Amino acid sequence: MNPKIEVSGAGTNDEKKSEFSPMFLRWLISLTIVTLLFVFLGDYVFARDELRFTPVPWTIAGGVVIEQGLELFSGRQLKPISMAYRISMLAGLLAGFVFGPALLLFSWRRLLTGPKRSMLSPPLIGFVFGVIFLSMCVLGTVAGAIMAPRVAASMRSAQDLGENRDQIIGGMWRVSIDAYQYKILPKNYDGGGGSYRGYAVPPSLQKLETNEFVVVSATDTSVTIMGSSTKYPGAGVQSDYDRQGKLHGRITFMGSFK
Amino acid sequence: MAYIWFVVGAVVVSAVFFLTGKSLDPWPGLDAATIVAAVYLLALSVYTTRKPFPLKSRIVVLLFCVGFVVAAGSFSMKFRETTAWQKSQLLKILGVIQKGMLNSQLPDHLLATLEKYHRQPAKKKTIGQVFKEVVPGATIGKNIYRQEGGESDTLKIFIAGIADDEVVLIGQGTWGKGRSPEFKNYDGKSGMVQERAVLTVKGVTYESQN
Repeated sequence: MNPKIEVSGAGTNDEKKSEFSPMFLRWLISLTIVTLLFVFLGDYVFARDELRFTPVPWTIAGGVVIEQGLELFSGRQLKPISMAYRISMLAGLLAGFVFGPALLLFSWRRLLTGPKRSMLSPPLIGFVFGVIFLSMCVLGTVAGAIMAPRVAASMRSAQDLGENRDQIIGGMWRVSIDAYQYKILPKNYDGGGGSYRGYAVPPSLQKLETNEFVVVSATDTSVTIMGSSTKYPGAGVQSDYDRQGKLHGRITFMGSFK
Repeated sequence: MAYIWFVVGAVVVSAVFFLTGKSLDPWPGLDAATIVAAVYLLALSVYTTRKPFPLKSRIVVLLFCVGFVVAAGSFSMKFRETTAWQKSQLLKILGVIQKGMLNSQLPDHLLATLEKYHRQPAKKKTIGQVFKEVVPGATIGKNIYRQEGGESDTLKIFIAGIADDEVVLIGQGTWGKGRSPEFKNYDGKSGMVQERAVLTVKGVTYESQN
């Protein structure tokens, strides 16, 4: 009886087969080429500091709109949206809607329907990366969808309050100018003849939009004016003006304007 | 097959994104690409979860994808609306600041003139003549705004009228939009902030024109 001879080393078909599937290698090469192109040619196409990845591309679009607002605020002409911003938006969209789901679903399908594989098989790695990609996008988007209305409401409310306070300060400035004019006008022109005494806010300035103005005190050399909001009860602003009609000391804020 | 799905998805979404994109507005391109990407995602989920994929898993995947698409649409719309509002607020605030800066300077020369006029013992000089003393070299159309905010402060206060009985000043913004974009400004521009102040012997009246 001849002993069974085992053939070891290279030469069998099983051992010659690569541990990576052709698909995996194709992907690896494609991704490597794309990454190298980004790294070496990126700076020729767009400024790298503007390039950023966010799994929620709408935040970049919103950021661009606010940046444009700031440009207009500064009196500058709007520039076309940079290629870096466009690429950033597209990358987020592709990650969340194309690469993440496709990687996850195809890998999942392969795991369910394909042959049993080792722990580090390409479908399992693909599945894990798919879950990571997709969960970043989904979590960011769902959290944004839930929080955005609240954040918007809170911003509008804060802006509304600030706007009302600014309106009152603007109204008080107008009243203070009127008071100073009263002071410098002679008495035969219905003025104070050099004094603030007797000054009362004229009817045309008593109520401006949702605000009311009254004189708290008036002496020869100073006048104190208070503006209050009818929109935010208890909220108001008070300040003193000197003999030159200039603001004296600080503006005092009351109620929710504090 | 997976490779084809990856490539087709990336190419179609990118093509729609760039073809519908506008140079100054980021939303049209992003919106169109999001719609195409959402359709792709739903088609992908239907395709990859076909039999022999378990039915329960298929339903869960489809519901998850629909939920994601709805959340993305909702977030996109709300965020777009909010940022557009923020941008409009910035421009509104700019208008308020410019009005404030103009209003802080408009009365200075006029009140100084009014005070000097009424201090004359016999009122020999007219209000226009006193104004010319307060503002040496005053002529119609002259800009008498004092720059306070460096080179970027390009507001203007024009002398629009000097008569014996009145002086008219016009304060104008050079980039801050006023209420009406059709409003014709003093210097020929359109839609800018504009304030008007008229001085007579009785005092100064103010009018916010735009």
